[in-house]
Amino acid sequence: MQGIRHFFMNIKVMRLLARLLKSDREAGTTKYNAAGCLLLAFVTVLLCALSGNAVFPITIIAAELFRLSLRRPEAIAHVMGTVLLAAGAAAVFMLPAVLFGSPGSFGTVTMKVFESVLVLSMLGEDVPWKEMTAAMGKLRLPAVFVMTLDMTVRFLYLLGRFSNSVLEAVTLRQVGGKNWKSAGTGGILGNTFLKAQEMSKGTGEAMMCRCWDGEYAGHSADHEKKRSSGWAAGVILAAEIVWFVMTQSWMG
Amino acid sequence: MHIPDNYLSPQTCAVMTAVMVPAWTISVKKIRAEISSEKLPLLGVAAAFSFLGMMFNIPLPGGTTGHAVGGTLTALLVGPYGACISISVALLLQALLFGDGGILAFGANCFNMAFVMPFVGYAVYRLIAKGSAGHTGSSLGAAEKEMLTGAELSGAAASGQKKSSERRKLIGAVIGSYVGINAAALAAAIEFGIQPMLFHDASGSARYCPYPLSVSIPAMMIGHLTIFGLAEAVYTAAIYLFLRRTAPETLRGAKEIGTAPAHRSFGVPALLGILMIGTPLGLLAEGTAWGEWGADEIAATGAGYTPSGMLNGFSFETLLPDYSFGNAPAVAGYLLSAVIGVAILLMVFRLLSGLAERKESRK
Repeated sequence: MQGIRHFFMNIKVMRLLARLLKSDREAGTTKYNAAGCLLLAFVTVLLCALSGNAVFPITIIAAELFRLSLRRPEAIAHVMGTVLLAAGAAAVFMLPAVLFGSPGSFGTVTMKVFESVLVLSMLGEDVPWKEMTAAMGKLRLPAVFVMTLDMTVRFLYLLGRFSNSVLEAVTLRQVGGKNWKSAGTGGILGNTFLKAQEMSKGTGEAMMCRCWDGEYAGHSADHEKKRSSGWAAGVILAAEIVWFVMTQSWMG
Repeated sequence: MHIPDNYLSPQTCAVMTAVMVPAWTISVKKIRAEISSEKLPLLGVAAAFSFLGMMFNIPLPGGTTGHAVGGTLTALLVGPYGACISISVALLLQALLFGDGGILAFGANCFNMAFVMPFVGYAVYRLIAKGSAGHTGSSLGAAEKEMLTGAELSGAAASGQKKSSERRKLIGAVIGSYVGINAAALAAAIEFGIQPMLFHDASGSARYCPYPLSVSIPAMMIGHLTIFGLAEAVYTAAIYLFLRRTAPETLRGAKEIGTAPAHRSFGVPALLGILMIGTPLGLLAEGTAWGEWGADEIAATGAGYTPSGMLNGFSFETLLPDYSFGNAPAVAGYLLSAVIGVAILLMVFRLLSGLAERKESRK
């Protein structure tokens, strides 16, 4: 049981982060305007959360599912796996609402979690992480916030890999029943903390070597395509807001 | 033709499902043997065509409605075995998400629309189109043959042969689809009609469908022999001609699908888009199809009572019942249902394609 939990916690989270942090060389540059996509995703999630009925969220779900259905099987499997996991967890958390006579809350929350995770997962598929952080800088978010977010995600992945190796080493050395108390949890966490300190020192030195002060600048490749996709994002945003206002009158 | 829950007894449903299990098993084996993994998404496209076709309701005098199914068309795209699986998946989606067709009656619906229709329709198509393969240019007159050189003759003969072959295939598709949908309607009518005979209470009242064979067969067949059969034929012909012009590589039997070159054409996506946008036209037809009334409607249809099996039977709440939700306009509900249905079907078969490719690469 502990082995299963260990596997689940580490491998699933790391796969998620690894996909998000696909090597910059592999990801290349997207043809989409990253800032536009980010703003669109944020507004979509916000509007769905504010929606008083199911029409708007289901519209977004329909559109995103259709976009997803045109992708490669690996992308479909990854996105749907993440979304169904999140929606399943939300459904489990909200199950007591059904027992207490409020099945509407159960359905609403599960649907909105499904929609939000779907929108953000699709954003992750469309826009590489490096462009997303650059777009956050363009959207005038504080550089400290963007850098903290960037470093958090990257270190979660790296430290996750490190702690997974340590846990595996400890597990292999154990004889008999597995017991977290005797596994030296303190030692594992302590080593992970030391490793984190090493990594942050290394990051600081790398930043100094490259004369990078933590400011995220936008990528300059393919201006024309990005400008037109920026306009497209603007049009879609406007259409979403109009549709949101229309659907709010269809209460029930 | 979607049989709702509680129209057929649980025993009938169990038998129909048992009959479909070997059909599904054999179909899956045939698909694995004959269709390459990269062509599996075509099954999703075929399922999407069938799904969208079933959303276009057509009115019949008397207040009932019906719809095309696209079973034979699906068989023309992916072969009868592929059609069996594609239409079964489309029917499963309709039953689980939209409440169109029962959950317990799923086996019966698959038997009618995913087994009888594509196999019968495809068999008729093959019978009519079979002669086109051996045709040797006899459409040319003797005088024309004398004037042409050998190469021109063979070229002209080939061209004439091709035109004749295409005409026969189109005729085969039209007649096959007409015969297929009527065969499926007959099967459904028999399933309905035997219920009062086999399952009734002590007073003689039917526990499930209250209409005997003498009523169910004429009721189903009149509509399908006339309007719905014609609609199926027109739907099949229109899409067949469109695909022949824009995406001819999709119109092959299952044996050829695995070796077809992977062309990128916009015919299929364009057609899916047009059909999706056009689904709200199905709302113009009011009324319920024969044999698809709710428990609250059946007494008023002439039966005079509501069978006990329908009053106390199985019920299942779907997410988007009858392709609608809440107080949203029916048009919005239909459009969104079409988009969601097509998206899920395409995703399912792309995932299967991905799994199959991974399996092949490991060998």
